[in-house]
Amino acid sequence: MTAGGILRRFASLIPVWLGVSALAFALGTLAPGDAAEMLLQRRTGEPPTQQAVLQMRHQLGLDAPVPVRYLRWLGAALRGDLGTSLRSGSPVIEDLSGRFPATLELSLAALLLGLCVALPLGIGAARRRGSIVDHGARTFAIVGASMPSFLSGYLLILIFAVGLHALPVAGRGGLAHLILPSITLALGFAAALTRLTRAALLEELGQDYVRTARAKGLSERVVVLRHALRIALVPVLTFAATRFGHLLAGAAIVEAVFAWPGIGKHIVDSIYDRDYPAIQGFVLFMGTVFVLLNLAVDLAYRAIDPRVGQREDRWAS
Amino acid sequence: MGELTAAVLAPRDHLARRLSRDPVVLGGACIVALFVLLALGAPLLAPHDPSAIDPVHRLQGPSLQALLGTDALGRDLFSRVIFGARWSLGASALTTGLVLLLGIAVGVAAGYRGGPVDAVLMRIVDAFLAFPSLLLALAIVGTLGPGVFNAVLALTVSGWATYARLVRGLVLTLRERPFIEAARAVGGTEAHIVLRHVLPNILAPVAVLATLELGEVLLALSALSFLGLGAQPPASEWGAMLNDARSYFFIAPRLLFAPGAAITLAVVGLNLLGDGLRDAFDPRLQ
Repeated sequence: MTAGGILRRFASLIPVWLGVSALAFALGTLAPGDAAEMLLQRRTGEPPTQQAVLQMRHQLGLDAPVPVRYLRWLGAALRGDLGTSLRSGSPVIEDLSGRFPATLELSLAALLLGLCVALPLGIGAARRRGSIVDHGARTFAIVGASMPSFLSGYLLILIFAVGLHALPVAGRGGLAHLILPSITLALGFAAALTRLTRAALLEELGQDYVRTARAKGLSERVVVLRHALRIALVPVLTFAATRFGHLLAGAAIVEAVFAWPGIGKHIVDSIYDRDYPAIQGFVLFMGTVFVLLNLAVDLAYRAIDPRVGQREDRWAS
Repeated sequence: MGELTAAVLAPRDHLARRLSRDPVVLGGACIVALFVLLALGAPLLAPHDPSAIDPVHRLQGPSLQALLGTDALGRDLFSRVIFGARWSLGASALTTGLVLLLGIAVGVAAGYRGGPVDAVLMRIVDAFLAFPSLLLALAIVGTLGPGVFNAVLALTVSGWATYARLVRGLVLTLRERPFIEAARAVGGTEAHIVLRHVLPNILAPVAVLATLELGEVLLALSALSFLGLGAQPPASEWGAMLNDARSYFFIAPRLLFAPGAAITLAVVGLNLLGDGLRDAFDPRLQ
């Protein structure tokens, strides 16, 4: 893919990102109550005077028309200023970027774990269709996708932390702390990936080139692993990459269960505390992360399979 | 038009026969039917009042009087799980309905009209799809404040875009089909074509996906309630019961596992039904 192509792809994200920013800004204006009044109330602990509220509104620029406020907010955001958290008193961007690594760590661990479980399971199920492995994999795919992470998380705590005393109940620390939360987060992802791996490999195994390879007398192992799997892995890995965003999002619940100090737990705490600048900043921050993530997946996919770009262009017309 | 409709519908009769023999679809349908029955017949099926507080008999283990024991306020857990089907399924069904309504309206408008209407609507859809819906729902309900109605609203706002895109795709392929062109040629008004020809033909695939969506919504709604942002106590919504149970996890884990198991089983039923229908109906829908 040419540099111009990459640049064009990047430029096409600008309207999406502007939409995301508008969404984040709109969310801030939805907040009940008057921002200036709330800020003063928090600072002094008592209801502010009318005079003080008006002064603060002017100071915060809240008396300007909405489009002006949006542009000002957007301009500040582009310079990395997402406002000040009402709860911590520090810049929102610092709170968010400080906690993001913990969420990233958890999500990457879950991604790795999911791939390590789903690929062998899906491949095994496809190779021995109708066997006990296949039934096991299909059951796992249904139950894993249906079980909420707050249930599986507490089940794991009950068995491995409370019952066996083998692993810590909650918190972030060494590798031992990472095990239960990442299994919990990986469960739904691994279930969906197992199902997709099985389906993709089964489809390839039904193709003509597989029959040819078998007819040539190649061993079944070579046919499956060298030929069919290589093709089947393209949609599987693409799915894994796009689902990474869902892992980052799903981490919010897992973090609440395991008291994991990531961005999801932070936002839930901010919600309890009605810290609106933090919520608004969070939407823009995560929106930006997802837009960039999708771009990365898209570019990687195009690098592997040049047909993608053409196909998409045809659909767009 | 009668013959044409019959021709379109014909393969589906065949389909209905095949579906009734599919064990996956049948199993899923049975589970879903069980939960619908629980929700509708809750007052008859629950042995106790789900909100009757009894401090003397709090946190008691399972017994003949209370099949799953009692919670921290002495309420019968079994009855609360049964009544929970009303809250959880009711709110999920409402959300799914709203999501579909909005998604279909926007999707049909974009797909049928095309041009600048399509372009603008799809850019809005893109912005909404830039997020995993749970995060957006979390932020919306976080801003509006906790409550089951706000949770329904948040999940609707964060969920409609997927359907708008899907319906638009379906309408785009339909628009060029001969029978739509025929309807246009004989002078059918736009409203007539959309209502009589476009909508009926997208309803089947949309209904299949709605079954799967219902499971997703149930999970998301429970997640919001579990975080304390959806249904509020003393409502016996499953997610809210889970949130209540967190404080007693180490002394009475069954308070958590009973509603958790109910959610899982209901979603398994919906997924089995939806998967089976999808595979039978249209392999192209992934």
